[in-house]
Amino acid sequence: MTQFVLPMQFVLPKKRQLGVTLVALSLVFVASCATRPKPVAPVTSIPRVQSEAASTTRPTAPPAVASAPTTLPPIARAEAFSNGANRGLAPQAASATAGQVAPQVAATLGEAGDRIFFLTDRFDLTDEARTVLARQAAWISANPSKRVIIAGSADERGTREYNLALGSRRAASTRDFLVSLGVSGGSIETVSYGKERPIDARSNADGWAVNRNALTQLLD
Amino acid sequence: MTFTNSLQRFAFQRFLAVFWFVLAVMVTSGGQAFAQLNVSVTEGHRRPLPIAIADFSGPNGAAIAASVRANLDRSGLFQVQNPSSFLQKDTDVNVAPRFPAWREIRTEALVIGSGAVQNSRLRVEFRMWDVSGESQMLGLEFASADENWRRIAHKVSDAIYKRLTGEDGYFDSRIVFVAESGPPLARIKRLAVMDQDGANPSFLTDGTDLILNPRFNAAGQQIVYSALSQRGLKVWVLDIETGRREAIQGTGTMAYAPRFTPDGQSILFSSDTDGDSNIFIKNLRTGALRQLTDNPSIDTSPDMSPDGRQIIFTSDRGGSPQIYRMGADGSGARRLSFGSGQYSTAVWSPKGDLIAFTRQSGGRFQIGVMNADGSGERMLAEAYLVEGPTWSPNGRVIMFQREAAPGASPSLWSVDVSGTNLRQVPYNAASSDPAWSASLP
Repeated sequence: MTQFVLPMQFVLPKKRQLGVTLVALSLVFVASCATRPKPVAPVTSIPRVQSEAASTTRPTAPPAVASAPTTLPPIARAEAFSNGANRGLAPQAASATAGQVAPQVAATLGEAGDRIFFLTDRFDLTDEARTVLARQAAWISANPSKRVIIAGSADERGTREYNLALGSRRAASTRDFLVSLGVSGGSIETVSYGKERPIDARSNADGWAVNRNALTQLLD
Repeated sequence: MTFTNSLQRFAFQRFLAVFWFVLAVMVTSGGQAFAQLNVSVTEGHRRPLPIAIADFSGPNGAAIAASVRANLDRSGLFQVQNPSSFLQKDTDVNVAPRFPAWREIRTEALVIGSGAVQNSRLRVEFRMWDVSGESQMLGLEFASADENWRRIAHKVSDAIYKRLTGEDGYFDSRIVFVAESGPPLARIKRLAVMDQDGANPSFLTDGTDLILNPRFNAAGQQIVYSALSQRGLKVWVLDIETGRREAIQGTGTMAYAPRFTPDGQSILFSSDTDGDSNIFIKNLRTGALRQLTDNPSIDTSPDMSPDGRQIIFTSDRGGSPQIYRMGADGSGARRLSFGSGQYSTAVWSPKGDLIAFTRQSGGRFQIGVMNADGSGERMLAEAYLVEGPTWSPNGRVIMFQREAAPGASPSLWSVDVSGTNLRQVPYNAASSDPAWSASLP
């Protein structure tokens, strides 16, 4: 559902018609180079249309009710993903699975690893991303009542609209891979964040690398 | 909430018509004097025309004159004289100026005006004089509600601009844009409108959704934009007068990159299904939806030519994002951009003779223009990020979003179509995605 809470009650002025009044003006100006100011004929105007009607109050739609905030988990912050070699694996996932025998279904989607990363201008999956998605797929399959939404993102080096399309491609390729692993397509929604929701504020290769991602979140 | 009041106020201002009158256009000594006093707008041979605007008498007179000066100065076509240099202080709209006193400060055009309020109604009259020819070039009067003095100043500016350049002015127009706030990782993006000079900004959404790429219809009464929530990306049409909003959907799950057709009847936009973006057109009256592109590549950022016959758009069907042109029915697509780098967000000039676009090359972004057939490409501005050009109503100025350096806050800038006169729009807060309205009626 949209979270728009634009109230819809307005007091509106009546739209005014553009009145154009031609002014008949007789001006007699004698060009002169004299330094003494010469009088110019007074400006007179004869308004023909004067539609400055008083404002009318027109009630429109009833006041909008502010919609409840969507209950999505907060977006993870960049710090959780900025530790280089472990990129793509949430730190807690690494520690939680250490020493355990794979395949182990993670306790939460976050533990499985909820974000994968892409190369510049690419939407195909890296081996690292496939590893994370395999854990995601195991978790989603083990929690069949859960639905997820995958949000694809792009780094800032592209125009806004093109990056929305690119983010959508990343979300779609992520979903397609989960489906290929047996996850029901009906339990997955996709969206693109384009370059609108970066997780790393740095405008450099490290920042861009983590901002090219697909995030899997619980829907409800 | 405050934005409700803002929308009310915006709607109110929008329809406070400015009444205008031709006072007189007097020719006292034939056309000879006029011939000398014109701004040449030929590219590369422009000489800013020295013009003096005396403070108008009457309510808000100094502010009106200051607004006219600022408009003309920002156009780059005028050398606006500093009022402190004026030798004649006792100007009167109904008295011929002492021309030698104005020749002394080397001004060529002189504007003298006055205003008076009666029954909350402001009437402003002014005359423009040819200083060397010692003749009146223009005499006009505008009237509106007295709180509307800024629009009168813009009408005065438009009249002066047109008289001296021969082209329509663009000062009585508005910008719809995105007002940004908050930290980089939790950005708030609100739908906003302001006058072209940055005055009267007002916010039309509350910041819950991220607002992207808003655009006016030709009449300036509706705005179409994308709104991104965590759950989805949708296109909305907002009627400014009534506050009603209507969602525009294609066959896919996401809709974005919307633009009105020139007749205001339809919305062109991208609809995305499973990562495949195609271009659709939806008629607002009949609801008819038609798909115009159908291929697995990205097709987005459509814009219809002013004559309604052609659509330019961004596609990566050739391997990288480039500008393409097709018929209004989606037929006969052909590539227009062949320079190095990636091209996107192309927009037609109001006359349909030029196309402005964003180019990404060498780790930087450029704003450029090309002829409608793709020839004659030239770059007008470059920075770490510049994107999303929009044309002034007269096709003379291009406005866009600019970030000077990595991490810099986005702001709105304008440049003359000749590539000169690069300036920041006088709105001093983070802002992006500008789109110019047509000239207001």
